[in-house]
Amino acid sequence: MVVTGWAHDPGISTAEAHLREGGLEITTGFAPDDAKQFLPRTAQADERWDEENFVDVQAPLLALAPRLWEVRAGDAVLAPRDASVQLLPGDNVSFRLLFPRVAAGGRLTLRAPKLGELPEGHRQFVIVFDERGSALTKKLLRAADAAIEVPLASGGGSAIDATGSAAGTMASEAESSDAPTFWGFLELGVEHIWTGYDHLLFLFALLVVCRSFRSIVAIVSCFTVAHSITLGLATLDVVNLPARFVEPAIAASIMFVGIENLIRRGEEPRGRWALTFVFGLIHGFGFAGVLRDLGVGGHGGDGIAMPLFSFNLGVEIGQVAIAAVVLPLVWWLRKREAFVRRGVPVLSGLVALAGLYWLLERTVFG
Amino acid sequence: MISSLPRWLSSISALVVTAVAAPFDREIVLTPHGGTALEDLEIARWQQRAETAGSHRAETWLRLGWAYVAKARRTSDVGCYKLAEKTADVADAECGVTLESRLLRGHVLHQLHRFRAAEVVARELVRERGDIRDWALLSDVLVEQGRIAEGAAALQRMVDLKPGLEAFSRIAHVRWLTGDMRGAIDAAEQAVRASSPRQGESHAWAWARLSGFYLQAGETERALAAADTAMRTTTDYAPAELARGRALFAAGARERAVSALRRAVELNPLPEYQWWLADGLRALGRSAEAALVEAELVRRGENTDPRTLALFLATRGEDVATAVRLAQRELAERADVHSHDALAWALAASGNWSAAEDAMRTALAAGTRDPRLFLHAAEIARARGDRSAAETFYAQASESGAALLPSERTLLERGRGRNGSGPITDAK
Repeated sequence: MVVTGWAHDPGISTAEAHLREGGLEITTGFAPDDAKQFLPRTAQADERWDEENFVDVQAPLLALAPRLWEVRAGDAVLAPRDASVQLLPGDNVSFRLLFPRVAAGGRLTLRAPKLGELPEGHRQFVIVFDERGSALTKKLLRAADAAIEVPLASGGGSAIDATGSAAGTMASEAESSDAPTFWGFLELGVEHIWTGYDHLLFLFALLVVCRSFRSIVAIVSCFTVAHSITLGLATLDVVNLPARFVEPAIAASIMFVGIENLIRRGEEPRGRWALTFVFGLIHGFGFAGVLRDLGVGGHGGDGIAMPLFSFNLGVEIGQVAIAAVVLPLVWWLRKREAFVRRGVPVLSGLVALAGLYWLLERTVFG
Repeated sequence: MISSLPRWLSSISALVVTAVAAPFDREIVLTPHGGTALEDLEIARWQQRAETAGSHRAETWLRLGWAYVAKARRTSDVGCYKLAEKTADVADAECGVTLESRLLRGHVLHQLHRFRAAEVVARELVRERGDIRDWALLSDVLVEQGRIAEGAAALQRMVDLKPGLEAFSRIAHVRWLTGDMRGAIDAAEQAVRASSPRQGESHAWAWARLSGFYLQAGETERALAAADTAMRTTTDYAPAELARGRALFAAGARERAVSALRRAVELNPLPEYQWWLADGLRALGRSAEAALVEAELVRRGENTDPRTLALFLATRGEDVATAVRLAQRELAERADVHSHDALAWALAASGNWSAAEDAMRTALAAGTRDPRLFLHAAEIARARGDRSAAETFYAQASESGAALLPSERTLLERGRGRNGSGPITDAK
């Protein structure tokens, strides 16, 4: 199709605002081509910036740094206490601004007035963290909508206060309305297991061949312990595997269990608990992905105990609820010889096929 | 790097290789987008899918990327192309590089005018897969680089696979570039017949393009009707508003034309649109308003459409050094008919008539019947003292005079007068 305009890469810049005891620190990163837009046309040389020639433009960039952000606490405009600019490896011009402490209560507004000088369509991603490193709110700014508001709640944990004596918590709109609480994470855990058909099918394939209540307890316990371990480790960022390995591995585990059931002709394989434990470890990485997507973890483990506990509890509750419905039915069916001889293999075959389908979907067709 | 590997190894490496996404890329593409238009809801839908169960699936990310592309096409918000590119980065990082992620990336590169990079991607795609979208991308980037014959060959492969709206629209453009105005209109008419209003923006685009062809052929009423159809298909669509403004201007309805042009500029402040609005305002005697629009054109033009800014500056005889610089820079990446024309016209404005004549010859070589090209060629020929050639070019420009900007029509009349030619008679 004919391209009618837009020769210039509009660019995306990023800004991290940290509410710390010492004040509000905003670090803004621009691609050099975008940073050059702030300079007079004569200074916008085509040459690539390096440590040597960056010195020549450092002074004008530093001069404009305080104008990158307009920070308002209520009606008061805060002036930056300190500013610096440097060229970082990876082609990133980084501006750091330090503002005084912000009083608790009221509303904090960060506005990026210079966005209008950047190419049409430029976006600036802003994320605001509290002093524990938890993300409070985020927004994609553009010239026509260049401000982000962060309501300041009075009372609470963070010591972001004009006098330094009182404690005030920054609570963003996003946090108050969207960020899950204990019950929110619990609900999320239940929802994840109920709508995570792959986990459910895995569990079903394990349980459909169980011959005693004892083996059911052993299998469920192994699965729970194993996935709790990796869920915790992955959320704390101790061990992590990319989703493109975890998700196919989960599919493969389902296929494996289905095929093993088929080979054993519906009888319970020996040592299933060990296999369940190993595969449970993999499923835990999958559960961790949900928490990671919500921004839990990755900040040195601050503030993740509650989400981790309540989400995992939700997963277990969801699991038990499903088992409570399915297991009586399975036990009742297992009393029938025809089900054990034909039904279990057929169901196991279907489980294996579903596992194969997910495996292909997550690898070849993904 | 993947392209240099054997196909089987390339496929495996595509699964294994992890592209590194920059910090925050994932957060950036998943940040709530806002808006209630269909495109916005589609973005929100795929964001939600990616945040929940679908983050491991490349398809989820790519659907999100294409949702950003749809938003960019609908609103001309180039920032959404950038978000689409970021989404491709995330897809590659999370799920490995796929042919589909390369297609999305190639499309974005094309739209951001990184034609040579887009060509590399397109060639990989046609070699490894070769479906209709791959050939379309290759055709587009080749034509944009002025390699019309190669582009037409790629287009033929596309048509062989599936003739439809996308293929006919491109055929129309290539025919127009090669001087087959009637053939271009036929293909553009086939394009609108091959599509339906359900296709939204694509359908509207096809009608807007057809309106432009009608206007150039002097069929003002049909141009207006086509623009109206485009507007009915997709409201608040800048190309449709521009097409309507141009058609209304040609029909003499200047006030209404300016309203449409103003709306087009509000929706998409591209230099081409701003130039039309400024000229429209000047034609109504509203010079102060026009000056404001022109100032904005000059202020932002280098970033948004340097080629049109170069043409604007050269036409006004202002800052011609910048005009030459911009045209030369554009030519380096996009050596098509219009870039050669822009360079010729900028060189002419700077008084370098000999170089201008050479560049103009290259611009005309494909046979494109664009009144702007003919006007520039006429002015250069007149300055070089070739009155006969100038007269021929003036006459050719006059044949499609309705498609010229008002300021260009003034230039045409003045040039013909100086060349001793007769007055303009618009084609009806």
